[in-house]
Amino acid sequence: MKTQLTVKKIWIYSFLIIAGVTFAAPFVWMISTSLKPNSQMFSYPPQWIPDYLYFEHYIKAVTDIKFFTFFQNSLIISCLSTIGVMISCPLAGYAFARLKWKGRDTLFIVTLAVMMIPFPVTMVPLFVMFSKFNLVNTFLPMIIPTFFGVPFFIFLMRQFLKQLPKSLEDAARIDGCSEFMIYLKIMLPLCQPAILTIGLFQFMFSWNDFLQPLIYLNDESMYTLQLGLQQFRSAQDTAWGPMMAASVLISLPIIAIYFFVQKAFIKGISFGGVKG
Amino acid sequence: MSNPEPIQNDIVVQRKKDEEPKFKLNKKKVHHFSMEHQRARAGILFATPWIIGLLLFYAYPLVSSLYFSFTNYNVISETKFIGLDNYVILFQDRLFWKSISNTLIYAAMFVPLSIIVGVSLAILLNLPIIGQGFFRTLFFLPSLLPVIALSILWQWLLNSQIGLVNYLLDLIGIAGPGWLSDPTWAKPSLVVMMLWVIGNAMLIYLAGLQDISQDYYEAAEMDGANWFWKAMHITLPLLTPVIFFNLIMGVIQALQEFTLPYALTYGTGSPAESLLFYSMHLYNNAFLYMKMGYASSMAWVLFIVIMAITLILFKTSKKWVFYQGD
Amino acid sequence: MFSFKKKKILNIMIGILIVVSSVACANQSSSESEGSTNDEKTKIVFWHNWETGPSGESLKKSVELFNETHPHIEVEAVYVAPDGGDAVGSKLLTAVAGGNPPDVFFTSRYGIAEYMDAVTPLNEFAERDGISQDLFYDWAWGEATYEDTLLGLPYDGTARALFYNKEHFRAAGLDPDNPPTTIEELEEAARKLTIKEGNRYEQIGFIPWFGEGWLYSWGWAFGGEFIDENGTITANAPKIVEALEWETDFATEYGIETLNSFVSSAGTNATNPFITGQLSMMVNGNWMLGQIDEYAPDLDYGISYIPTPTGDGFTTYLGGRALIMPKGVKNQEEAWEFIKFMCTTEEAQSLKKIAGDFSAIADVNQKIYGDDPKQEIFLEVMPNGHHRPVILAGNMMWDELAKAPELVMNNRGSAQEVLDEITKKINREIETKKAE
Repeated sequence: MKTQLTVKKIWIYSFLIIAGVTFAAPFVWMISTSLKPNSQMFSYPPQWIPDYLYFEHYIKAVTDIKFFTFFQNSLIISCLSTIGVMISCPLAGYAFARLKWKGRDTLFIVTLAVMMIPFPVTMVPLFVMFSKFNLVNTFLPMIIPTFFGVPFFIFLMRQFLKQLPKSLEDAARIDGCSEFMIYLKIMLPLCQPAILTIGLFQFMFSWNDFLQPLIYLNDESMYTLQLGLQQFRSAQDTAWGPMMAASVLISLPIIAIYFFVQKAFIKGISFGGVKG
Repeated sequence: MSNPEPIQNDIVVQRKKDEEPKFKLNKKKVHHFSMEHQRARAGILFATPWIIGLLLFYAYPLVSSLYFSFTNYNVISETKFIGLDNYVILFQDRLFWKSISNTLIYAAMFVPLSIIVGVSLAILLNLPIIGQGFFRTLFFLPSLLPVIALSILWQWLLNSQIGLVNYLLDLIGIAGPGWLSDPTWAKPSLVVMMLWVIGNAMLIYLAGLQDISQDYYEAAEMDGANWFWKAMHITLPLLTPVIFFNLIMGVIQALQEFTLPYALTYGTGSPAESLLFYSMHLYNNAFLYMKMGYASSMAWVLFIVIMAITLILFKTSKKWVFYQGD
Repeated sequence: MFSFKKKKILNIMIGILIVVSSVACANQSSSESEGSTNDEKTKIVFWHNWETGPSGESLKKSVELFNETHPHIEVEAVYVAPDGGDAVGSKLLTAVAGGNPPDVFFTSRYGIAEYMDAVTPLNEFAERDGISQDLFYDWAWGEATYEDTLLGLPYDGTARALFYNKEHFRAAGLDPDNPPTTIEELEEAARKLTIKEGNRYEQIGFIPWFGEGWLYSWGWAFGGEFIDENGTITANAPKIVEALEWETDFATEYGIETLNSFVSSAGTNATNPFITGQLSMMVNGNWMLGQIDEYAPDLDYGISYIPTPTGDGFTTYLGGRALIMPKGVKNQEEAWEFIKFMCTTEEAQSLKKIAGDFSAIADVNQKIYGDDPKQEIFLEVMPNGHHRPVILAGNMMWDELAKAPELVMNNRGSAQEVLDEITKKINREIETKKAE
């Protein structure tokens, strides 16, 4: 019995380690490539650890691309749309989860159905709409919709809110607290993990988004990092060093934020009630 | 003002207990009625931003794209109603069929693999192992990478001449193909890249696994079940709702895959149109050729295909999706 | 404890909001002030996509020169990154549709016709100021006109030729002063120049579709025509099919996979395989002269005609940009003044020398490049050059033809079948657009 257990453990760990190495290798290779001079980059056999740390690629990446302009643009779009969903989605989620009103269940089903609409379907009319309001070549088409809610996040908020014990707001309600106060003072603080989770999701989405900036932004000074990097790449398709350095740089903020909110993240997702 | 109760971060999981407590109704009828009314008003009020958003950013575009699909709309010229012409031309367009088949083949490869890999990893990472946190982070980390960075990295890794992958294959005596320059290998390469960033789905499976009550396992252990039996008869069946959720989302996402093939091929879909995905073809028509009416008809075909597949999946789900407590 | 945490997060959020919105506002106000006009000076906006490199510099210099010499007009050059090649795209069209177009727009000529509705025809301005076809090369004027409508003024020209490595020629026992002129000689030279070691090519003699070896380049070299007098596309003309079949045969001889993986691994600029000495011959554009000077100044190379089946009737594929005036421009006179200056004056056009770009005016090229032996072949073939058909589906035709060789080589149909399909598609597209 005991040996059987150990054998099983050996299997599990060897599998985990092999899979782990496979998952880590591309990452390590990216960082390694970004830190070595061209002479070592193409060496055969490949060199995992550079002879010395070579930062030229990073300097080239931030100077050849208007890195800081793009960084600022990405940050503005990502932060504002993150704030957008953090305000709008808990509101709607709360309405669906804990308030009773006519048409609620129908609207919730509609909300779920909307998740199935592929972006390419709404892309053209949205573009036309925003261009009529002269908002093309601004960040607003990517930000405004988030202040009205994103179906998936509303769904996540509702699932989370539904799990909270009923007794909470009943007491407050008896005390005569207004619905908005209950929401603000009792519910919102409890939802923190879920709010942080949807915030992280949205930030990641906005930061990594390519299609919307591609459609809406013309002026290079308005570009996001993703657009800027793709443009750099089409002009310098084999400048592997600087491209790897730029790739590391544009990934860092996301990774940093992830570690910052990691704890809340796992807690914030609840699929206990996927069934609805 | 402090909280009325010592509420800690630990959320008390009380599913299925959110039904309206009935006893209150009898206690204070009048008061309750007004409260009910108040709550209904608050509900609509709270939902108003979303209702507006739903109409403005989903309903209106949906309807107007249907309208566009019957016109020659191109932003700049006079718009004319042309009936079903766009659809007729669409079904004769070789690239339309090519892009549909590319997209479906990709989805058929990626979605099942993503479930197998995602569930296996999640089960492993749910075991009480040393360094659990480390491994979870490790497998999740790639999915944080922006798609553009992902595509650059893998283009470098999969380069047929100087890429790391072909070098490693060479070590074990395999002459690696020209991954992204060979039409037969281009889509599998894409699948590999997307499997590398499976972290999000994995996390959702992990959340699902944690929802499975330990009671089931304990009962099974009493009967002397081994881990394989447990995985096949407890874990997987109870995970089916989450698998189903990820299946639906995976199909929807795979069918509208855009950024990765676009970034890799700069929108051309090379080699030999093997990476011409449906959304890319749609984008090219809408924003390169400015055939927005035509692109809208493409969009509606996509929408209908997605709806159909989702519907079929929902129909079959009754046979294989189990809910805890049912 | 809990409320403290909440407060902190709220503070952070508010902080971010304030910082971000102030930045956003700052951006907005600065862009608003740009649009304001001055009483004495008329300000016009010029969208272009030549920002970097010598070409960017030459463009910038000509704008500066205009601003110096035209005190009543101030041109603001704005870099707008291209969305697909450098054709007119959604960017310009939405600007026009939104009633906010730039006064002058810089774009590839071949794609303008299908967006005629977004362009102010220049016929009247040109007639008034005596600017006509005679000033420019035929191909330049031809590519800027659609059915007698002058869509814009030609700004530059790009030409292709055969580049060959003289060092490699000597090593292979070929005469470096007698480069191949017929297709047969080209094949033979390519065979001699190719060095294979095991399964790997150390050096490849020639790859027809590398660089600027578009189907347009070869179709014309083989004597084909892509359009007939009626404006019908003839991309499946026998000579063009022949050219594509030749490319395919070439690929088969060397191994499609090998050549393709070579091409896809090949870089640009400093890592262009011709510059690094891995490729002995290539068809490429005149802008390569500058790149070779920059990255491999010691490379011993020559330039010759793109070979033809018969060894005579040399031609080339010529492209280039035009300056157009979008529809709805308020300061039409000033915009025209600027277009005219940029495209027709010797002072502005001579600045192309900085980048080694060609003018669309023969005399200017003769003046700035007449004494440069490397430019000789280009100057000689340019008058006989071809331009892409000006049709209502120019962008689509370009995209379709660009991938035709790849499709045939990967057995997605024979050269005839693929070109038939493309021809049918483009003609149907043109008909549909004409019917509207």
